[in-house]
Amino acid sequence: MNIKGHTIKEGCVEGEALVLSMPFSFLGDFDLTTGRLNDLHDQAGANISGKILVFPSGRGSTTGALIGFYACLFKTGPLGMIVREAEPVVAINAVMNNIPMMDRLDIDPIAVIRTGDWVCLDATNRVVRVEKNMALREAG
Amino acid sequence: MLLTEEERKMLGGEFGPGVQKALAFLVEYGEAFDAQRLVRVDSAHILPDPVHMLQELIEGVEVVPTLSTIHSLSPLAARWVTELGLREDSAGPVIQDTVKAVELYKGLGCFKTLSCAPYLMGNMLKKDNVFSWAGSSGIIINNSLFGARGNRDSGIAMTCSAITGRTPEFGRIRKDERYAEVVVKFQKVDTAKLSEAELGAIGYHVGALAETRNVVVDGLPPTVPFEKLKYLLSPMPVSGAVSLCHLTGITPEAPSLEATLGNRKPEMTVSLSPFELKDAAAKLCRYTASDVEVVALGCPHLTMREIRGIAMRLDGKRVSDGVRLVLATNEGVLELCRRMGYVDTIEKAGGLIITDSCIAVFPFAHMKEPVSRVATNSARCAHYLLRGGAGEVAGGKVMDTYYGSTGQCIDAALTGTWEER
Repeated sequence: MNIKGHTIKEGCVEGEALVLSMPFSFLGDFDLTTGRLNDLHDQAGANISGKILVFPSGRGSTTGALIGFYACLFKTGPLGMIVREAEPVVAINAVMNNIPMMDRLDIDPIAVIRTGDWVCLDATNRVVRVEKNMALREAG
Repeated sequence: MLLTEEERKMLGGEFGPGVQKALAFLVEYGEAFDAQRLVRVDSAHILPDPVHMLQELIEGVEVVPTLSTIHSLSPLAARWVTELGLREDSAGPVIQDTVKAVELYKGLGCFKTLSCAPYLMGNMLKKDNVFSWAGSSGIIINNSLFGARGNRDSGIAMTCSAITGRTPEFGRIRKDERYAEVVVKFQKVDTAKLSEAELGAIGYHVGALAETRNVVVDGLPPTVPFEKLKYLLSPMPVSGAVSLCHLTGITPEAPSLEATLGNRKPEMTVSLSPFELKDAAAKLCRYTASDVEVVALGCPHLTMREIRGIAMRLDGKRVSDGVRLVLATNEGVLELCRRMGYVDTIEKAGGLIITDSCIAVFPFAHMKEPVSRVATNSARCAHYLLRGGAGEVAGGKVMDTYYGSTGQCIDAALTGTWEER
């Protein structure tokens, strides 16, 4: 499935999707040491490192973009980001830290992408390709 | 994006490589939000950038043309490490780089306020001024209480704005994106009697519901002091991403509820009864034992009126053995309170006032004696205590957290025990 959208930061990456059900903050929602989402998060225990992180929107303190920088340095951050609609903190995080990112897709990414799906995020050409994880689909 | 001749020269490198990079970043940032042009900024507030990025941005820049101040830092970067009981060797390379960056900014004429409340020291905005600030509490206060215009800037955006004197025009800078979409009303609540902790819980609850949308709170008395509004507004961008919250009859753009809505229907109406208030506060209070180890006040940084109030509560008393009372403010307020004798009163009682530091990202993982139970009057601070900030690599650690009013927190410091009210 190919979905068109709007680019925040150009670049092309592919990897496994991690879909969050709630808005995400780089400060306080995950442990910079390990990439693990903390216990109060809806997806507690999941790891954002090297994932295509799919979430509704950014939130939280403006320190977020700086934490994003250190997440890149410590290799605990996401590979790429897809959000319903970007807000400035998360967009700056992508632009300054060179993380490919898209928003405003033609179809709601939270509804069509499932954790474990393989996602090619081609922000340069403004298209997201989703390969459903068949094992997940069969398991329902 | 449409650039002026001067901006095109900046982008072309005529003002040096630093200005060129800074303008290019602002264009890319603006284009992500479909901004049509750049506008002049009246004020910047900077969270120090990674030092190598900063060095690239200031190449060829002698002084910033914009009034600029610097945000609060980790307590590890301040001079209070010993007094706070932190390990002296905890400041790693990241902290050392931050300290280097601060000195570079100072050299460019950025005021070393090291505070999340630089408006208390003179970075003050008036209605319709445009700002590029770090610090989500300062941003929502500027937009809401002062009627200035700015977005949730972050990372290198503020430095780029300080250097170029520009910011992309989108979001809350545009008049048509300043109308309220979420209305908050009270039901059977005596709003004149709400404590800062109750207001903080309201802000925290509303922020999560509003997400990125503008809010209007209807029904607060016009006599409510600045400090209480600070606690109401500052958690909204923590649980959510709110950057503007009108207060009917109080804030500059809110002569009436209808005016804040731009005569449109709200997308959401939130009705708050005593039940919701209690439930919201309970989410910020999670602990296993009632003996408090640290009481942390000053998120956002304490004002002179708050420090006077705390000094009066502590006068002639003594903080319980085994409890650390930490108050965070900035150098301007500290000096004034020292002159008034309040600092002396607080120190005699066993309290510690620190400056330059953010207590919401306190490096508890670096304490000499382990700490796991912290009380605060700030919803913002409680949120991060419960989550261990950015994790142990940044000095954070998940805390048992007690959340209540300033009075409740001071009582806990004096008795060593948290009492629910």
